[in-house]
Amino acid sequence: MAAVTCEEIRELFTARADEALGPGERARLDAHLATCAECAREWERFAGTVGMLRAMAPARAPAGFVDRVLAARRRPWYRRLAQSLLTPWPVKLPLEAAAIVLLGGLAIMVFQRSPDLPASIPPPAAARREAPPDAAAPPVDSRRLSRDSAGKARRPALERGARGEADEGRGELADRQTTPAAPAPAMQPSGELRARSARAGVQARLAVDDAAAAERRVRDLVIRAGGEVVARSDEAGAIVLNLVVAGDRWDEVRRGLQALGALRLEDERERPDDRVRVTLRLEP
Amino acid sequence: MDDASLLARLRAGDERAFEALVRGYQHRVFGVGLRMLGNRAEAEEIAQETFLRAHRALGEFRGEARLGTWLYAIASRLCLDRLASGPRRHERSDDFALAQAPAAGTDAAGALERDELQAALREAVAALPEERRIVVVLRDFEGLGYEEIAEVLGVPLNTVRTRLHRGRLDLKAKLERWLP
Repeated sequence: MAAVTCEEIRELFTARADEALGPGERARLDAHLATCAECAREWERFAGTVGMLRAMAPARAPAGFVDRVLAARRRPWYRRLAQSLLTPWPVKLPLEAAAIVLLGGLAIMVFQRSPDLPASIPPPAAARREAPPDAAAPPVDSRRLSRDSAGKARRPALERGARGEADEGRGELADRQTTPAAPAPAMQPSGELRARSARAGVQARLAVDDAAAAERRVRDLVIRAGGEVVARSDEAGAIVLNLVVAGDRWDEVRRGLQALGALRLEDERERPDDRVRVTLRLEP
Repeated sequence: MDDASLLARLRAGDERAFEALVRGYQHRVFGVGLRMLGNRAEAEEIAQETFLRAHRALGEFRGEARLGTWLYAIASRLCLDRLASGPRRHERSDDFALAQAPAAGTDAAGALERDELQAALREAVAALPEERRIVVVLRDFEGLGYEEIAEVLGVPLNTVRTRLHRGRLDLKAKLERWLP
């Protein structure tokens, strides 16, 4: 196998994160990561970045949006044009802001002048529940777009892209699938928060016979201890979990991990009293 | 309802088909506007204009691409044009919230950290150059494949790959303190 540089390997990170590498390149990448600690660390950070992006909740259009679009469609074009010209968004925003301030002021006034009201309001919910995820994005269609209105609209950018980005594609390594699995299963939120912790905590390795089975047991262990699995990624055959547990439950979790396999604590830095963040590699 | 039958009904002037189109794609189209412009009012304006333009141009749409791809193309172009027209004002938005609600009993420090991370993500995405931002938005937020992004933006496949990679590297550099 020809030697590859770290720079070449890191160019593969995006395709790896999207499960879009061919088997040859995937093997080359994994072999390099197994021997180059610096690249392995960079990969972990890269995958963490992608994981954070994908953990963001899907955006939701505001309530009443559909009705407003339907109403706008029924208005004649010259009225829509006049409306958009007469009230561009920089004007609308201050109007909206003024309305919010006015309503807020009224609400405060009503609140202050109603002595029974504060006692009648229940405490805020401990958790804000997110809106359910939107329907999945449509799968990839390999056919080209027709010269429709969108094509006309984007033509200037297309030309700009062709000129300005001509060099961007160079240097790409071959042996790559054109379409990544969308979205990559290993990077998906799957109902878990994927945020990386702000401070480094415990770095641990757990040698197990079956990484997938061990993952399930680790998750149970963490949940029983009142913690959470905040991120997960696959790295060179290992499963990497980022855990957060309460400081006073860490010893319990550690003992549970030791019962699952050979646990090696590599980097147990000074940790905050309230919570412990653990990067745990499950290695077969 | 599949694309072909929806398109046929749209072309026949079926009002309910247009409503189904808007209802089916409203969040995705709005999401592109919000992530690109960082402002809900502008995002709604862009989303509304996307559907109105699509409706007007139905006769020209030959159906060789998916309806979703076509709508993404219109929305992306409108966003890029809007961005080219002047500086933006990004606002705080809960739409950048992380997908999981905090667990019951989460302490105040955890909530603060979560808020900080969301703010960091929002700022990092907003700071990306526009041509990289749109690729990251379409791939990592909307889940489109490389080929579909190339169709949406009308750029070569390698350009999509390169912009996505560079965009993610930019984000990694910005989010340094949140990474292990």
